[in-house]
Amino acid sequence: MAAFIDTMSTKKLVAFGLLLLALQIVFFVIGGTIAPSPSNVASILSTKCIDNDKGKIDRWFYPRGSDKNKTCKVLHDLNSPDAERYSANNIVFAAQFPLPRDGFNLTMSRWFQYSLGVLHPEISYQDNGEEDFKTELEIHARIGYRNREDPEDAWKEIDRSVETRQLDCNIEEKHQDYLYNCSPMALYELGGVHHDFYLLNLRLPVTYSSDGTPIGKNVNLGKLLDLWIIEIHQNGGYTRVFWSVKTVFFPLVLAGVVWFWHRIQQLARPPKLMEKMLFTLGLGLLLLDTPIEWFSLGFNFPAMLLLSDIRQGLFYTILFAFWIIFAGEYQMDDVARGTLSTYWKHLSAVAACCISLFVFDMCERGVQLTNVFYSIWSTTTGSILAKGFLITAMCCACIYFFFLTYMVIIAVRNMWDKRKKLDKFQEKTRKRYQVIIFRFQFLLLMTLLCAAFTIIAFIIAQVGESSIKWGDEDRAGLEYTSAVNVGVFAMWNLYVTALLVLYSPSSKHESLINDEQSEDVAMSRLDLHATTTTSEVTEFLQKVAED
Amino acid sequence: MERSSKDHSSLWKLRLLLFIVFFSLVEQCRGQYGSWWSIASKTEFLGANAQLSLLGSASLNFCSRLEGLSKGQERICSLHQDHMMPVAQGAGLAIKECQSQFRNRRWNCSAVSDNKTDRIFGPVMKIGSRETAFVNAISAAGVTYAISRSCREGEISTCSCSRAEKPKRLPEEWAWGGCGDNVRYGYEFAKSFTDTREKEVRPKKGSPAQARASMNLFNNQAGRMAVYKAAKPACKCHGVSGSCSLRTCWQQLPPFREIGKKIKLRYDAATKMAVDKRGNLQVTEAGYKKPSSLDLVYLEESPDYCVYNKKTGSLGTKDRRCNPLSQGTDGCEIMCCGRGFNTKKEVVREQCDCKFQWCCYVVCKTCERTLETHTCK
Repeated sequence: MAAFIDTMSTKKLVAFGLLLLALQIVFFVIGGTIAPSPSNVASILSTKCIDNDKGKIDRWFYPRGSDKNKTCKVLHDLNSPDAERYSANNIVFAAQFPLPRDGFNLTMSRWFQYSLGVLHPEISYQDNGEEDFKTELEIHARIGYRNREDPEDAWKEIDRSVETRQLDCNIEEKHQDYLYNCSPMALYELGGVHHDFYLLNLRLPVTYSSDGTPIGKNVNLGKLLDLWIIEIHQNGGYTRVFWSVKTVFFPLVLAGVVWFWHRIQQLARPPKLMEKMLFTLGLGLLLLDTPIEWFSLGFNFPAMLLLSDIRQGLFYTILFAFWIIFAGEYQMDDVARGTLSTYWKHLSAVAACCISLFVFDMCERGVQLTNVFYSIWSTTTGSILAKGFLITAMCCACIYFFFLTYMVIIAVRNMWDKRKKLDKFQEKTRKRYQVIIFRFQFLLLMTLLCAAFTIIAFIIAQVGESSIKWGDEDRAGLEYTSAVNVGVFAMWNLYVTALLVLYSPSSKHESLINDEQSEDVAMSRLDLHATTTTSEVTEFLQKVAED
Repeated sequence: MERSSKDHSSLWKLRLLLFIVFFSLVEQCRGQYGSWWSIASKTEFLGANAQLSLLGSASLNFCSRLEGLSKGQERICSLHQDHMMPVAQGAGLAIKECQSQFRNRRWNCSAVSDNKTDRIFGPVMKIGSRETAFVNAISAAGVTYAISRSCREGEISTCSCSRAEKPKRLPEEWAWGGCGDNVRYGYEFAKSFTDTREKEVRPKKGSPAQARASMNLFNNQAGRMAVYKAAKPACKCHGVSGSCSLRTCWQQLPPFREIGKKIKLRYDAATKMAVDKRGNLQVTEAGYKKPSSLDLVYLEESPDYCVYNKKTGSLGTKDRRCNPLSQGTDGCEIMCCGRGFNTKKEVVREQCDCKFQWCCYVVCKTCERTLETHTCK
């Protein structure tokens, strides 16, 4: 097989490489300058409303609106003497978002794609309290929405649920009135932001035993002062930029895939494993690039988040499988390969990793389609299960990388050996081996570069994100995280497109197609004749010469 | 925000009437030490349940009646009337915190007993001492803290989006790139509100008045920065399958107590400064480091807080409680300035081991113990 890459002149190849690099830089810059940061976060201090009916009557409590005194009678301080008249069942924590700004009643936008809420309680330390405390929290949660044109009280329910969450707090300095550091708890996750306003009503009720003492999980809460809701959603600008990039890549990749398939169809032989794999990779990317997200602007489609997860997962599964097969096919030893079944060990590691991640995602985001408050982590069994899935995935990933590194090292070593002995071969044969070696090394280098770039960029982004302080907001104007996200997405697109182009069978040198058989022999025998007698080498070379 | 509803406006007129009557009484006591933090005592009048936005249409007089505000502050007040409640809360927070931090010092941040006047801290504030520095810093911090908290509750609808440049385009900008954090707004508002009064008059460069204004500005900034710096980041991963390929972080403000403690540490390490001819603050003692934006600075040594002095505003430490066993500032030796102390023994029944129960009551035990109180002579 002659691939496009072999027939390309060095000049052209360099030019092609530079073009890719330029494109890569362009996308990086687009991500960094045009797009805002990927997500926006709003800390919302929930308003404590008094419910005299103790939840017996179903109604919404909302702190903002023209008759807010009726819809939410505010209790300002849970710790005040005023509050003593009320019991836990009288208190409703209400959070209405988005918050008003600059006199505008802002609305959520469909461009936000998802919205997730994190619960953060403020619990203050009481004398002789514990340094660490863990308890379960029982939350009666309800989330609703309203649109601009609706009357103010027309909140419609999205979901309601009774949830438990693990509350885990500790305190560094035990001082009265200091707050515990509590780990934030996931509250809800909306896979689509289809409406204008959202409202959360949370209760932390207790039940009373016959003698009037409160019982239930929430009794152990201690001195709860406030409940913060941290609302996170994707920035509309980021969504636009990202979708645009996707939409630009889709026809590009489609063209690449069609072209590749066309080339393979022209071959006189059935496609080889490598080619099939590359084609599958192209299809996987095509699926990832299909910009179906645009539909979410018109229709309420909460499964979009899950769907993007699955598409992304599928693409990476195929990519990982592709690497294994690529390394295997360029092994240059005497093992017969060429079918998927040869790689069952490696591929099952990939499959196990991805399936366990898929199951985990279905258990988390899948179930969230029916209950937005659901979290697999909230129960002990669930969190053991979730950890199980993640650990399985991690182990499989480790095994996979072990396999891959091993195969790559063997391949590289074999190639070094072969290269030393190349002088012994005829001009034509030597050239062909050089081509094979070059193809392998080119892809290896490209892959390593891409992978290294991905990893380093994400690490820097993570470190950068958590160390940002206020006042740094107006930094240089480059959104690093967006640049990385868009850049990395574009990079893998360019990577696959480049592979589709460079490794597609070349039509320029039709004659080389006939070499096909001999090349296979050459590859498998390479190891043998390097060590065996000259007669065999001559015999082999004769065979090559005949072609 | 809606600006109608007849019930409320009539209710408001009544409140306002009470307000004006009250303040015209207070007017007479309007003091010469002009401190805006007296607004702290007005929270009940600013009204917890009040529809604050109504104030805007109700009265322009409202702000000039809040005594203690400078001209510039009055202007800010009339522009942002719904901010005055948090400002008052912030000032209250600051006073409470100051008193808590200084309960074991000779100067205990005591508000002059008659807290209905603006002389919250009395003439002590006339001196450019460490204590004044602390009070300025903590009240600036209090306002920053309270404003940003109110923004987060959605109570003030005019909190700005820190990214928006042109207000009219705000909805689009919000949909495009979201809003910055509210602490930033709290910071900006506190900056304009607390600093205005120092910038109104332009005394001659190098004069004592100018030195004092520079000192106040410096300490105000330190107080606001203390809030800024005290925030702790928290993060949430929400990438593919909840992985950390996407992570969002936000800042959490600690309780005000923690901020107060930090400013107190700065108070202990405050730097003495003086102005040069160009009107810049300079470190007086050679070899000392230039203070950072978090440090406190002062111009004059503190007055003697041991004895009552009407002129300096010192209340003296007579009748203050002290601890005979302590070697620190709360020890009787230091607290009573060597005058000795009286000891009184009594048996008290009091509530102890109080535990707040969710929700909303406090369970206490009743303890009986012999209480020995030591008070300075």
